Amino acid sequence: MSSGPTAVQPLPRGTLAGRVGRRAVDWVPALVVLVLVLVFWQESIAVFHIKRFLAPQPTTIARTFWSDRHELLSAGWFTFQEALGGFAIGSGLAIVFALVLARWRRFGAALLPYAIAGSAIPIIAFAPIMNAWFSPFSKESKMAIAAVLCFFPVFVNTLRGLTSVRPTSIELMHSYAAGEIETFRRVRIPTALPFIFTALKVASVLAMIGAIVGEYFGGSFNALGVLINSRSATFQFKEAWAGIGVACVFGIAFYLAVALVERLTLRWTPSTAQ
Amino acid sequence: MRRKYWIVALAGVAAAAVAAHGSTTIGASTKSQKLTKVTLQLKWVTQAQFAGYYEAKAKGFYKAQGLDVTIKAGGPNIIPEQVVAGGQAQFGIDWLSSLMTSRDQGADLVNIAQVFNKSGLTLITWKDTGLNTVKKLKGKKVANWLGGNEFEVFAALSKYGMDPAHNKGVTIVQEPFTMDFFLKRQVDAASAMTYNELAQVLEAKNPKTGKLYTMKNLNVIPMQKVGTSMLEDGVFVTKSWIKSKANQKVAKKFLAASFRGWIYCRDHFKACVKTVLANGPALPKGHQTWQMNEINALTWPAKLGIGIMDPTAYARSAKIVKTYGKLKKLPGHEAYRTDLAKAADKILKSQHIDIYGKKWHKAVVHVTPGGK
Repeated sequence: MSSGPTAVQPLPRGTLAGRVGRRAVDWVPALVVLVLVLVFWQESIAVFHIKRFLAPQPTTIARTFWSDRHELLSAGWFTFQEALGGFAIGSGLAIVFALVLARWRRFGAALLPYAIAGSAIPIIAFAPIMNAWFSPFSKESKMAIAAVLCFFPVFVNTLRGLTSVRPTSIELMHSYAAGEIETFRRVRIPTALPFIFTALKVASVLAMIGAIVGEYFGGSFNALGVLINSRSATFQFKEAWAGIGVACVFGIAFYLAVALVERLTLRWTPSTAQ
Repeated sequence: MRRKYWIVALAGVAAAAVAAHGSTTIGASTKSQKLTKVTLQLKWVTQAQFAGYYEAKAKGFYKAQGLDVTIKAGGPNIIPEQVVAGGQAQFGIDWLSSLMTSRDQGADLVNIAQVFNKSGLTLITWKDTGLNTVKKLKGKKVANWLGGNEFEVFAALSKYGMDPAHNKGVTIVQEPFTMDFFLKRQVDAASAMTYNELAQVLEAKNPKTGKLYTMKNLNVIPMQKVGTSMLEDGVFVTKSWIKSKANQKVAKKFLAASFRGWIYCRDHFKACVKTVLANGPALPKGHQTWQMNEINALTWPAKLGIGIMDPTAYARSAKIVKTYGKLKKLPGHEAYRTDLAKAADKILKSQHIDIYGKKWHKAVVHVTPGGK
């Protein structure tokens, strides 16, 4: 480990075209499932005489998505900002907390059980309280909800990453008379990074969920959660479905963005390299 | 192994005995009463807004008509139209506007009685803001519950040149279910029903004086005065259910008993408050007393007789919902029928019960701290 991560030989990468090609092949089964589900959905509504307003067909939803795209995307963007803020606050605090607790173990041992228990907070019960603390109409109240939701997985995973270093690596650092900070920088943090990114990917999706749940209890008129809630209350289910679609698009885009950062950062780990 | 068979046999005998016992008791009860079971889905949680139905059940008016009515309370995520369209209830209570929007989406629902003949919706602001007209709300933050409850307010704001549906000229926010946000002045104007949210504000203490807020602290702008009021609570059923003659009979009886409940609440409003309290409302006695009085004011006097749709008010409501609910077409007369309510009123009239309440006068009710 003396030469650090660079000692690991990078895996053979192949050409870009080759990688994309292999990737595309990997996606075939998933795409087949998607197409089958959509076809079944589309046809079963006609075949089983399901009331169209209760379960609109995918083509209807797609048409609504297109015709209302300006309203939907602006609502999605509004909610995404809340999610992003909550993600940054929640994950940031979680990483800082984990670093502190990894350095002072006693602290960590005392607080970890509560951090794990804290992740059991039912966010739906927590949302109205956050709305009362901050204004229900402010972005901050939704950020707070998203932050709480993001905090626990990131905190627990980061701490686990920081503390799952091989003892021999630590001993080696000691033998070099490396200080605490150096050990963190060269050994603990690089070891923890894959753990952190896994947690951040989970948190990216949770943040969007948290923001939308918060909006269900009051929020701005042009927010996605308010839009979905309000439309489904007036039987405008195709609009509600289109809203859910927008939430998914933003959630997945956020996930992919984090995954991309992970790939760029962690070139050395076998799980991300191709 | 033997033992196991014994246990199974014994359990079988026991189950058979229980079943036999159960069936005999059920048989006995149906013989003596033969009540028709129906379910009513309310728009909101248990409160005096629905006193007439609770009273009709408590006083045995439904039973006298041969009905066994189950009253289901509503809540934030219960949409009566969806419950009735889904067949989990035969009757539903909701605002006329919600009925119109759901019909436009293809739900086959029809209004059979319009119980409230006036709108209880107001916009409230703090007196010291000077925002005492809708016009002055330009550029301000206005709260409403949305989800089909926004049309009266949207129409009022649009009347004065704002475009609330696109958040232009005014900022719309979704109102939560308590009035804390208004007390904390997090908005400029809030939607408030005369019978509920307005009272919630008046039941709160002004931290500066230590006394309750009064009407002197507030500007109250009723939608009735702005001219954009719509019809609110009414009774609806599905068109397919009401097609059968037998169900029409049931509906007629249901309406006659419900109206009798409302008439009773008009004449004995304190007794009705007691009945509501017995059904476990979220807010206490003082609040329900205020509410009962205000609800009576929306129902009485009933010029055409209780439950009969006023075509002018209907047409105004339809026009507003068409515009702000983005309906495909203007709701016409197919969305309601008056024959059943008229027949119910006729039954009551023949019993010399006053279905108009022309002499009814609003009582003076004082708010209590926290609605206690």
